[in-house]
Amino acid sequence: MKIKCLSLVLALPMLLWQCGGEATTPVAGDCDLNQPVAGDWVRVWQPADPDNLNPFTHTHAQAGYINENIYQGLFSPDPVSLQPLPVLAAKPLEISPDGLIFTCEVRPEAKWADGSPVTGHDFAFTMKAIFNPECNSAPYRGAYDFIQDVVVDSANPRRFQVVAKFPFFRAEAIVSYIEFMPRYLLDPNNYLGPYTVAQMNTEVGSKEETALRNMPGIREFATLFNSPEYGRDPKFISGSGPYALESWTPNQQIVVVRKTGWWGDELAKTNPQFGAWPSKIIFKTIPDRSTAFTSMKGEEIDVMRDILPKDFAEATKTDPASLKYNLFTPDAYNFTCIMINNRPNQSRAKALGELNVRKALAHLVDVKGLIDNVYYGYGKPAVSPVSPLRGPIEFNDTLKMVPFDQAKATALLSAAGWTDTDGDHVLDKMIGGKKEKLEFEFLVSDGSTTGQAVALHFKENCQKAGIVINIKAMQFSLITEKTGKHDFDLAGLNMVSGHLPTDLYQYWHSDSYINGGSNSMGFVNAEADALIEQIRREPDANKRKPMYWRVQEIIAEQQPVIYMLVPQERVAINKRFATAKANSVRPNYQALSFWACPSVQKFK
Amino acid sequence: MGLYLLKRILIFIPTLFLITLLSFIISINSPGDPVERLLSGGDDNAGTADRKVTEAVYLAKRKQLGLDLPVFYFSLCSYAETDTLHRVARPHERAMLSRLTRDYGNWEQIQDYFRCATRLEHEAFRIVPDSAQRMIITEIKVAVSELKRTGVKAEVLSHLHRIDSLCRLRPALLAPVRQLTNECAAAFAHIEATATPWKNYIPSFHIYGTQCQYHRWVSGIIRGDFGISYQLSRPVVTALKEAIPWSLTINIIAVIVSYCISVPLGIYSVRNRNTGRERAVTTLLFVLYSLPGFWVATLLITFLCNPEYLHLFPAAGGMDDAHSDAWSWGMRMADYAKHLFLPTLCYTYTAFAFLSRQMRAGMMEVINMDFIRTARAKGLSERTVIWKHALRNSLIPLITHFAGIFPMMVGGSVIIETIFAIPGMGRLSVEAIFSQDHPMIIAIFTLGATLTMVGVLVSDLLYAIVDPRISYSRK
Repeated sequence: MKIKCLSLVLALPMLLWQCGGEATTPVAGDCDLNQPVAGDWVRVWQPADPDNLNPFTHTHAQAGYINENIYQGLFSPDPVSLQPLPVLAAKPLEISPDGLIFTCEVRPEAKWADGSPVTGHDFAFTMKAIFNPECNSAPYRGAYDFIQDVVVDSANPRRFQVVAKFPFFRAEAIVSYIEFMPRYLLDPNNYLGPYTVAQMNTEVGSKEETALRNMPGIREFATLFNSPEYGRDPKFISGSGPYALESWTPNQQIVVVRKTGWWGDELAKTNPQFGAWPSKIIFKTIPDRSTAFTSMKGEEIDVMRDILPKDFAEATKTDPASLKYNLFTPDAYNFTCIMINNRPNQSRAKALGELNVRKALAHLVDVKGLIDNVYYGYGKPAVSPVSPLRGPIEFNDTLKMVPFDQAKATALLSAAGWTDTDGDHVLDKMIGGKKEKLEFEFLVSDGSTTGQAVALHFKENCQKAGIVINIKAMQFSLITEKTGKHDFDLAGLNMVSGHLPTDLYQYWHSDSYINGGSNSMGFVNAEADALIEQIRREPDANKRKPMYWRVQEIIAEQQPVIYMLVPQERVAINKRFATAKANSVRPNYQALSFWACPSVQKFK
Repeated sequence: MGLYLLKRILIFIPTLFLITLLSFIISINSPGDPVERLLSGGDDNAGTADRKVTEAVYLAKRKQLGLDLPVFYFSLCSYAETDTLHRVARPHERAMLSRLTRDYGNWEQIQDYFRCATRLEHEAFRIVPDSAQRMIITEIKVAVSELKRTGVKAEVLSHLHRIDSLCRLRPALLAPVRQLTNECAAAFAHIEATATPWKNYIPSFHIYGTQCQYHRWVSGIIRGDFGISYQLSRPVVTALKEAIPWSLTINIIAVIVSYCISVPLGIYSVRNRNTGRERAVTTLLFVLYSLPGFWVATLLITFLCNPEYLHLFPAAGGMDDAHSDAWSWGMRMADYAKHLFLPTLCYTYTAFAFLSRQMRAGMMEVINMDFIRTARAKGLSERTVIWKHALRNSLIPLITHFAGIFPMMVGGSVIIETIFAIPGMGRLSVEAIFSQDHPMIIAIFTLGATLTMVGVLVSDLLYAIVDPRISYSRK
């Protein structure tokens, strides 16, 4: 009797599930693949909810992926060629010969959700909101700091000029891609109206900034702008893009819905770039990647990126015809490396300050073996901090990978005076009258199985060469904090770069070491500093080429990090979106361009 | 009984106070700087590569979160320590000052040295190098920044020496820097000369009054405001309100089912003790009890949510994509049931395996007691003996376990909620801990502690109900 009851309990949800309807098997469908059809939903995987969706206060990359569908800039980069494609822009940017004035014009068709036109005043408002010292947009201010003023044409408010303080190599790209925020919606009381952009862009910590904080309207606007409503409420998350935020169920899903009568609909008939086909895009939060991939197999989600290498490798071994999704492996813009503390203090391993020791360590990493065994082949050896995808102007393709060579490592170490004097199989050397052993601590994230596998492999190779590596697994945020304080020997690092021209300042300029920036390695080189600054001031890409190449050479000579690999992104897209492709620019897909033939659409 | 209840509830107040205090102190002292964390954001595609968190931005954010205030109403520290250290913003500078204080114990002189080093920093950073001097200036800046990070004598002296020798290479340009370097060296020598390390062994008491972080936080709680979550940038209470129903639903079902199964199963074991069937049940329970939840959850997802095997349930989430309030009540409930079945199963099986074993052990102990033998001797049926006499007396261990149910109900399970992507309290807690979201962590701690107290009280009252020998009334 009890067993019967139990089976009834088990069977009940199964019956309920059956009531829910059976999933259709996806096929590409039988329609013309050159004629996109609107409709259907795209369900996109995300590992965690973003903190908020305000374009200039959020701190999660995920928010940017969602906002792509809601907000627009003058241009958007073509995901493959990276060439700017006009979105809000009526024509290409006009740039003054000195590279200081950018003249822009917004399309007459472009409208906000309430039907009012998008103008230069909205651009100026966006800049003012970012520069407002009371707004939580501090992490963004640095990137836009070069903007001195925005001047809107009084006769034609769609036309405006952006004036730069100094020539800046990323200026054109940044002006092109800044997302416009609607002034009518976010500043209904016109708190920022009385100010110019020039007045708002004060130097951080200056007297002008303090004065500005106390000016009327500045705090009042910031209180609104920083409020949870401006970051989460569908009423305030509204841009000129084809989608509007419909709902946000915390830690479950964020739904954006296609606007009816969107201004770009007419343009989409002739220009596929304006195509926005799904009636809904749902961002589903599933923290566990294995569960997410099972959901992908079960067609509970339609797009997934960053699939575990092991799961992805298994899927590729399956007959593609039996899979319900297509697999893609575009090259990534980021690269992984082992970061070395180049300027160790008293409490840290001083040996890492020696070039020979750093070079020897690099010879002890079997990058190819790691790619094959730990990353299941999804990666290529990295040789430089610049992505090969950036092309020959930026990427120095003459650099060679440091080969895995234990004999070379031993030779380098003995040349530097490291020998095993006491027969304990660990190299040592007298430094300042004290015998130092070659022993390092390697910080790895406790959540990263690949990171830990790399560390173990490295430890084994080092052991053979007489170097002791103590692996310390800890929470990722603690590693960031420890490396930020230079309290580490070695640590795994994933450097991410976007589609903008590579800025080496963040990781490789001495200022970024001095002021506690991302140069945790302590890479200090005056020549590299000068070149990095020149690159930033040089608007002509061709003139930047030799500088980029030289900086990469210096970095390779100094071995401040051990390069590992440029991973390949691992993306799966449901087969009913037959024309959908993955690309290198994160999030690696453009969900709004997905469409399915009516016969295979899952949601009407 | 009423008086007892009142007393217990009154004891709640100081206990709660202590709990909030403890959770606050633990949370505040956890490693990591929430301000750095909050400010290190941005989107790489948006071109925010330059994420330099400038001093002023850092200070403003710190002030906004109230982290510039002293931690508590008073502090008890050593005589050497200053009560103004919390005003120094940068953690590495605080660490450097603490180190110097610990070694030398003369705050006045340490402060002089710190001011001098700060002036040196400003002076060194004021110089705009031309290409010829770039190398020297860069090296000076690096050495000065390293100087401000260290409180170790050997390092301080070596950095000062290095700056001094670098200044000699461009004596005219770097005269002010050299001057300040010498002043710093003198200030440091003064620290050493006037060192009073014994002050570290003398206790000292400081009162800050209500201008402290704890007061700010606790007065918020009294108003029912747990603050704004750092990580979610929204009120903690709202986030809790959204997460609690998920964990609560799963747990209530799991508790009811596990009690409904474990009590009869325990009795069944006792009635059939020493038979093959009983041994089989006991072995099964033991096996179930030993299976780790995360493993079972992964197996269930792999085999029951996967078209490669059986696709009976959705793998993740609490509801369907199309779920809407427009659906009928029945449809919505069916949708929840379909999504929550496997997570609930995972919760339930460990609980009932444990409870059944408890129940069996309790029953076994009672069944051999004299009063049971008496009951049987009176000629009562086995059914009455077990259900009326033995059961009531063997419930004590289950009631003890019941005390833990209250916090568990809202606590959720980190692992199961993460694997099944259920947006409950377990996930909220672990995400808060990983992102050092102090307001959220403290709120969850306090809630858990309050419910534990309520649970203990309820089980104490239940003891008195099931066992007449236990009484809280004054005789």
